[in-house]
Amino acid sequence: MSSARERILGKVRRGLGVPASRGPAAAHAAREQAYAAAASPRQPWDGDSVDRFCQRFEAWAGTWQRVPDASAIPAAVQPLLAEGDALAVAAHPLLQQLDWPQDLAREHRHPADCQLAVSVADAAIAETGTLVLCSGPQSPTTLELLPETHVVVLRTETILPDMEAVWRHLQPDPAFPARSINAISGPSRTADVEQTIQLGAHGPRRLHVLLLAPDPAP
Amino acid sequence: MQSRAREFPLRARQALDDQSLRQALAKAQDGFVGKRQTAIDAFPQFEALRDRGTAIKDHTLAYLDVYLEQFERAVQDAGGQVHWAESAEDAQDIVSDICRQAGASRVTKAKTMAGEEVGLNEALETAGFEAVETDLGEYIIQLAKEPPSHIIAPAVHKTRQQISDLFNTHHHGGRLQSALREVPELVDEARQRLREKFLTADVGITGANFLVAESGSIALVTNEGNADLTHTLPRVHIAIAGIEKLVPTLDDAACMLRLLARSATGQDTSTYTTFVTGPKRASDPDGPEAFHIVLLDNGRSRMLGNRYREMLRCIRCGACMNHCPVYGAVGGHAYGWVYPGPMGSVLTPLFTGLDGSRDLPNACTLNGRCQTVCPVRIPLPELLRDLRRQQFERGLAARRTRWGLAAWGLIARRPRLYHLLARLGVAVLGRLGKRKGAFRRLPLAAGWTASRDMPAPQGTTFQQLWKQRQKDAQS
Repeated sequence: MSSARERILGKVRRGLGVPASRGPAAAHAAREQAYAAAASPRQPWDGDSVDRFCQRFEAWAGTWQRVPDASAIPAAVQPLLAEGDALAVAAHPLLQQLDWPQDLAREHRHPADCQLAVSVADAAIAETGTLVLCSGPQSPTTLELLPETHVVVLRTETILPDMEAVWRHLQPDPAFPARSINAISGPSRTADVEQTIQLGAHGPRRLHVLLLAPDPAP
Repeated sequence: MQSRAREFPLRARQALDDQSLRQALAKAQDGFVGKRQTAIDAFPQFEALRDRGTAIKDHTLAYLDVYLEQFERAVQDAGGQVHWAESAEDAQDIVSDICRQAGASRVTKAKTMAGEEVGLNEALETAGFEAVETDLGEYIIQLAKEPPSHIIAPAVHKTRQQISDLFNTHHHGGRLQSALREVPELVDEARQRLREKFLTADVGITGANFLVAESGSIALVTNEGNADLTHTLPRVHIAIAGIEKLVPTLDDAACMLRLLARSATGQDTSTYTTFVTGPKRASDPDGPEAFHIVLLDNGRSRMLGNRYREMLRCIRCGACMNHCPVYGAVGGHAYGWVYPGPMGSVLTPLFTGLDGSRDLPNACTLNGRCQTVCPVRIPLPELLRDLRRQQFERGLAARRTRWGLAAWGLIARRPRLYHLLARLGVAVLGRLGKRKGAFRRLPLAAGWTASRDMPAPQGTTFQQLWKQRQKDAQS
């Protein structure tokens, strides 16, 4: 039986003038020869990756501060919570054993009913000032989208030069690629009304990074 | 979607008379052009980036069968389902069937041009589903019951006054007193309305900016985050994309994203860039239970075997229309189908037929700006010229145009006759127009002289001047 799949692939092959069952090997060799031997041009910058990230992230209307160690995270989050706000904290090992201002286990609300969420970034891109978060039990995507404020803990050693470097960093994980790999540059925005940029279109109105330096070597 | 490209002259005329449309277009074009230029000035190797983007797409298209199969396998390995749609009707049926099987009633949508192309909203509504657009611009035009007028800024033709009026009618039953509202207020109101839709939708439909063959991922870019809410919250995620959207690897996608964001909005990245691979995993706390991708042909495979293959490199950034004087004057709706501007003037005749869209390839001054800014170097003016040639050959051009061109062709192939007639014409017109220096009206050129005066020739032809110059140079 000729299915739509066979008919479309047939038309593609006829258009290209190639026989059926070309293997991937020829394509990969041709790709190497055509362009893949060299890397993609990228935005150049002076200085180190952490500074570059912070500067670009600010340009996207993101805010950031340094925290000396993980135990300082709840105190950094506290001023961002308004009276009566509910807090959602991702089930990440770095965040779980901390002393939070609310009893999270008891509260446990749907992210849509929380005003502030805290997650841990899997990586960041210095070139564009972008946080990278992979969906999974330690990092629900809904936490990045539904609350009005999103706080992201970013370990400085995971700030990488570009997206290609992020792929190298994530690929060894057997779960790679996660269902949703979210590269986020600043709070949600729209320019659909008269080209005027307005923050807080659908996602967070405020995106705040807590920069965590690596533990000093013992 | 039904093409109304046949009505181009009428709709272009109406657009030119619409003052608020012209205001909105002038503002938008200035913004897009300036922002793109700033972004490119800051990227020293942009020409090399364009070369690479062009090479990536050319290579992918040359091995499209291989990459389609690789993509299909990878999606299936990740637990997703792949559907193949030969036509718009196939795509409508596939999507409606998935929604029906999911027992859906409400469907949220993130802007998809492939979805517009196949008329997905009408099909879903006919099948009894509530389809809600979630991109703010797309939501605005859905309320206005209009098609998009720009591929990345669908409501670019709407002024703040018009949007205020639409929200007043649809959200407040026309009861609001103050007529013109501020941008933050409008955005906030849409946010609240749509948040409830996001949380209660059964199916989420997105497009895809790129399909990654090696991983079976789809790349989605937005600034609002609406695509992410659309694919994360409902039980079922359906993505629809043309078969030309493939790139071989995640690295290639990274390169293409650098081109896309700069060319589209002058950003160096969109606020949200997401790679979605399959449905929710066993240990995931959120995400859809099922993931479907609809691969749409709808005339694309036909373009692989001829010179229009180059058009399949298009990444739908909108730079060509942002830099087009014709689009800037008449806006997107005049073009009559989903894709406006230079890329639309090539795609509409190819997808919907040369006959019903004969004005589009001619609605072009051949100034070449679109080709200069195209991130994947599509020779749009050449393709438009080629479509004109096809129209001529098939006898589709207007009779006067065909006769005029035939007559000109006859003379232009006989240099002596051409020179003789040119000298004669220039001498006669030069003498007749000597006193006023210009003609307000000329026989056979009423269309040209309707909006400007024709300067009178000075009495010598170009060939005569050229000969004279060469003689002077020798002596």
